Amino acid sequence: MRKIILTFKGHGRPVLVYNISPSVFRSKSLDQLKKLEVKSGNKTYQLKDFFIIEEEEPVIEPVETIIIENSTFNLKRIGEKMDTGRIVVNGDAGMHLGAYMKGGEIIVNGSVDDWCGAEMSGGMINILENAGNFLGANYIGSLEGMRGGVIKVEGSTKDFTGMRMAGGAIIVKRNCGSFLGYYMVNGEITVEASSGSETGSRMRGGVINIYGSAEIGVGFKKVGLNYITSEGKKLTLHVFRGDSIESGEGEIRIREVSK
Amino acid sequence: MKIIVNRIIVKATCPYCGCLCDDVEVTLEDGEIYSIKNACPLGRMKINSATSNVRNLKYLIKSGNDKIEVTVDEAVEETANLLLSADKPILYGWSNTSCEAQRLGLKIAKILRGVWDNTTSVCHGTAAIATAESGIPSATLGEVKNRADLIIYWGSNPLEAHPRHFKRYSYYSKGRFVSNNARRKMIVIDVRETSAARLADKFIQVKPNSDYKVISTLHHIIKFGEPPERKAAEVNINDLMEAAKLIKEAKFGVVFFGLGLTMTGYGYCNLDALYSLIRELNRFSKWVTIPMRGHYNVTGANIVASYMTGFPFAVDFSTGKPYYNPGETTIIDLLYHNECDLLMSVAADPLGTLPGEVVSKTIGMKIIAQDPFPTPTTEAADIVLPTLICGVETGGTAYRMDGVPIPLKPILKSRLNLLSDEELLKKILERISWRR
Amino acid sequence: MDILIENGVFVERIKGRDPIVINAERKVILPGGVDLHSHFAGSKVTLGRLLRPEEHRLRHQFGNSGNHIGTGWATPTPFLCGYLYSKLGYAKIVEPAVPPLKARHTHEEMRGIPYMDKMSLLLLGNSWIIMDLIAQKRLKLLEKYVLWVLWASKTYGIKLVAPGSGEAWAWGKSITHIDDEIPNFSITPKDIIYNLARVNKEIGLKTPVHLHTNNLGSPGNYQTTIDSLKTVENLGLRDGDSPFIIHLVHAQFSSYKGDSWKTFSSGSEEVAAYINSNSHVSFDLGQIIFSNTTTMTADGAWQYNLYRLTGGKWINNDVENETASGIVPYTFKRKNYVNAIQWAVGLELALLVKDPWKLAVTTDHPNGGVFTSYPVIIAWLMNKKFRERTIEKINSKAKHIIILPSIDREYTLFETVIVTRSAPARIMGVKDGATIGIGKEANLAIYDLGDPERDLGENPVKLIKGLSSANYNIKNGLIVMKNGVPVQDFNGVTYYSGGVNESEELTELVDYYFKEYYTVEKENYIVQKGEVMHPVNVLEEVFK
Ligand code: SF4
Ligand SMILES: [Zn+2]
Repeated sequence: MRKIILTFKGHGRPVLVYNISPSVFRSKSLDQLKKLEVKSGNKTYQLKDFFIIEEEEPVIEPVETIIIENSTFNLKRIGEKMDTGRIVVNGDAGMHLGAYMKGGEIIVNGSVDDWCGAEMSGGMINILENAGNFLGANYIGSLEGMRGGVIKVEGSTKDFTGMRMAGGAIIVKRNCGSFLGYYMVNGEITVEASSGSETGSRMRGGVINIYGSAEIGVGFKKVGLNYITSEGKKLTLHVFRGDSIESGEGEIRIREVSK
Repeated sequence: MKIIVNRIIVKATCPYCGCLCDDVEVTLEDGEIYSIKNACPLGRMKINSATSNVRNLKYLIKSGNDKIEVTVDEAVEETANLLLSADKPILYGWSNTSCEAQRLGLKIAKILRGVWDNTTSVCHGTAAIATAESGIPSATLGEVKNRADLIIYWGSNPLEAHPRHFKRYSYYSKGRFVSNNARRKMIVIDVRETSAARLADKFIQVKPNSDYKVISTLHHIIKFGEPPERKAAEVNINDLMEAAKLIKEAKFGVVFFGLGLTMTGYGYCNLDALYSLIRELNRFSKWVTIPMRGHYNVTGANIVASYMTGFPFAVDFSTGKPYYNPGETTIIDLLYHNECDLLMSVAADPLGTLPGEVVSKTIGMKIIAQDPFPTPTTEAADIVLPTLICGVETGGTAYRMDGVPIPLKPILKSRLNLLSDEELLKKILERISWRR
Repeated sequence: MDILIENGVFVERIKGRDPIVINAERKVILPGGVDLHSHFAGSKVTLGRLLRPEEHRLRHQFGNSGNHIGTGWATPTPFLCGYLYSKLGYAKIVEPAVPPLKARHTHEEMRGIPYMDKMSLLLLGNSWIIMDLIAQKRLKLLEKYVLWVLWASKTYGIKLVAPGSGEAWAWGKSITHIDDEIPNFSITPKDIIYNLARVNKEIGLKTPVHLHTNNLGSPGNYQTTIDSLKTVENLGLRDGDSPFIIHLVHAQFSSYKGDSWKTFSSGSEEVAAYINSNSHVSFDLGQIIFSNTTTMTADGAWQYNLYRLTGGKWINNDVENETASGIVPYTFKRKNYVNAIQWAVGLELALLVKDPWKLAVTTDHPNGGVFTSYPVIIAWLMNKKFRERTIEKINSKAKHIIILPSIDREYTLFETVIVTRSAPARIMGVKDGATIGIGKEANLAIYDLGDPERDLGENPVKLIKGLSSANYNIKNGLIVMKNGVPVQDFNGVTYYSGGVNESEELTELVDYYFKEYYTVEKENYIVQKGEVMHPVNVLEEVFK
């Protein structure tokens, strides 16, 4: 399988790299790749202006993997709309990583900024450190955020994780910020630690599991208990249904409700 | 010797707050302001500022540590130079000027592939976001004047910030179906006891940043007739039960909301919750909500930007097409992420009003400031463009807080040999289009 | 045959030298299109934009060159609106819902719409002054007031939206029968319809009263519709181009039978039969297109119902003393029973009404769908097989109860020209602007629709493609658009009606309402000519 290595030369301001996606790279020659459009400020550049582009053992096969070295928060829109292949980001990634993604896999050996996986409908995003706000969320005005696929975050996330989520799964190993699953319609969010205030607020449907504690809105009513095993430990979860204020049918399963 | 005074009365629209009072009368004596009728002290101050000595009088360009005076054409030329060489200019402000100027600003930003943002982004932007998420049940102020029997002020301080709101549109106004305030009830919800709170039938003092909880609890009480089983610690249930009773008795209710709701806690969520509550209330009777917009034409800025680009503020043209993503294309976020290298401020004072953390990011940026008055922004600017005061010395169109368009009028002819925002921007646009 | 144009009009002989020559051999040359009902400018449209940034984000369209900004689908930016209409071969468009208090806003947006001539209709069906004058039987004064308010707002004609119901909605209520009394006003919707249709005739407006019926959108409303049309039967016909007394807007939304969503069915036969046997009614389709759109209307109560049905977003925006309004995003789905019937009702009306001069093609843009869908409607009208292809895909329960499959009529090309040009122009009283004739305004669209010797309806795909993008759009003798690319900037005129009547009684009346009930000054309510793009008053400015 063809593998392309992009080494970011660094830039003081954000660079839009929506073309860094196996779907775009697939059958392009190294020369063609160098000329791919990249935007920064109000100007249009070529990929080679910002990256050293190398190819690991050239083979006549479609590009399967893209590795980005020296990545920083200034690289926005990595893997946007991608539907196949693999991107490995070494370093941090900027806003909109994997937004509208349909398939394939992105691994970030670092942290990501806001709107990671926003409105994605398939594929897998794996963040080894932390994520920002609006992970797997919608963009303003859209009624559905993430619709399918999986996002895994080894670290923590900020606010509005899974906002208007309509399908797929988000797994967060550490803490989440406030308004987790805000307006959520469907899908499943699992937080293995705790989350902040107004968890599940305005939720219409879907499931939120919290193995630690969280503060949940006044529109949730307790409906029972749920027993699960997580990493060999038995947990008793309190099950709440809501958000009744929005006539919602969502479910929050939580170990401990914090005040 | 006989002194002949030439005294005339002109009608004016007050260019100060979002009330946009259009019944102001200014008496001029030999072209000078003699008296002002109907305006509140804030409006009077604004209108009188035409004669103030504290004005920007000269076109200035920074040269070393000094600023040197130049002609208007030189200033326009230099402005065009800076704008055209910028990597991502942001044109910010626009709430204290006319719609005509706002439109030109959008066109300039579009040609430059820059960003056009408006003070909305740091005040009621959250309300615009909530409107995009769920919509707002609203009405013009006359509906309140003529029908409202219950008026709620939430997180706004009308008597201080919008002094004539009470009298012209709300609690003290007289209308067709509510002939006096004895027939209206008022609830004030705020973190502190404002002067309006002292007049209210019911004042609910809420803890800072607890509004979302308060609205949710109130919504629960109204929807289910009882408080939620788990009560939020920061909410006083008795207060809300009483309020709910008043609310359910009303035939026509309105919630006026201000910065206390839009700018605190998760402002946008507060508005989501409020709009949801208002939708619920429409099942029982008629309910609307109206924002208490601050600057006199901030509403116009949102309207103009919406119809010109599809988006109400924070419009980023850098890729050639308008792009709007609050949290990314808003001034605070752009400056914070070092995205812009030039800041042009029009009729606003970003350096004096944005958070210090963000202001510090403007060090090293080119700054162009267009304003009738000196501000920290004009102080720091590389180019200062003085203008006439819109709504006092020049006219145009503005939109009131409820979206009603009202003409602004030139009350008096300025002694200063300056251009209006509109005229100056037209020159800049021409210069830029020609150079492109 | 040659068509000669000079100085903006068709001429017999060209006097100037070196004219531009367009070879339109084997092309179809039509007068510029006229859309008599499309919500494209003003407060409501902008609120629609505010409600739906997602739509403007996803639908970035062309026209983003220079300082032109084009986004949006249901609510395109003004520049894009003019651009799309021109591409479609249109020349004149009508914004049918202007609240007087916000007329300035409508004009502000209309100024930014290039290429088109514009007209707008004033929302008067819930106006306090009008309802009071009717209740007080001061009918002469009513005439004067209507002329004044049209003049003040620089609008063209009268629009009634669910008369009286907007006032009821201001209290969160609605009116379901046109004989019901309007809360606090001791008159009925019927009184408003009758009196304004009469006033309209008396003062000689160029277009009939445009009526959006009460109960619009609801099952069983065809009866309300026919009752409303009957109300003005005895008024006779009007003088001038447009003889009709009443124009039923987006008739599709007002022609339903049934008493619930479950028993919902088509009332097109009844409504068409009434229109066929009476000469005082014209109408437009309000055809629905299966797609997502942003609905917007002054019928606030109906929009609230629609919001309750969808559970989605909802904007309400009532305007003091004048009108309600609401905005709700909506998706018309093929497989939805009610939507499938609605789709059929529009086409049934168009095919059952015999005289094409009585109707105009519209989608009630953007309520039933966007105006760029008109070519699809033409193809449905011209080709039965093409209709059947859509019928196959709709809700199966609906498929079996609609009468559309049994209708064989296919429009001729000539008939489609009538329903997209001549008829709407006549109804609006601007017939000369849509006629190819010596001395008339030279508005032309040239299309490539394939082999003109053959039946153009036969190949719907080619027809739709051809009609969707004119080769040329010539407006007032200027080539403004060539193959979908703007050739030059051009701004059309804005027609308006009305006049100032120097009458103390009128001044006293109007002043009273401004003093007591409005929140703006009268002088600021009046839109100045300078705020209007190329204003043309079709009546006399000053009445005695
Ligand atoms: S209330 Fe506002 S608009 Fe009215 S006079 Fe005072 S400052 Fe001016
Ligand atoms: Zn309509």
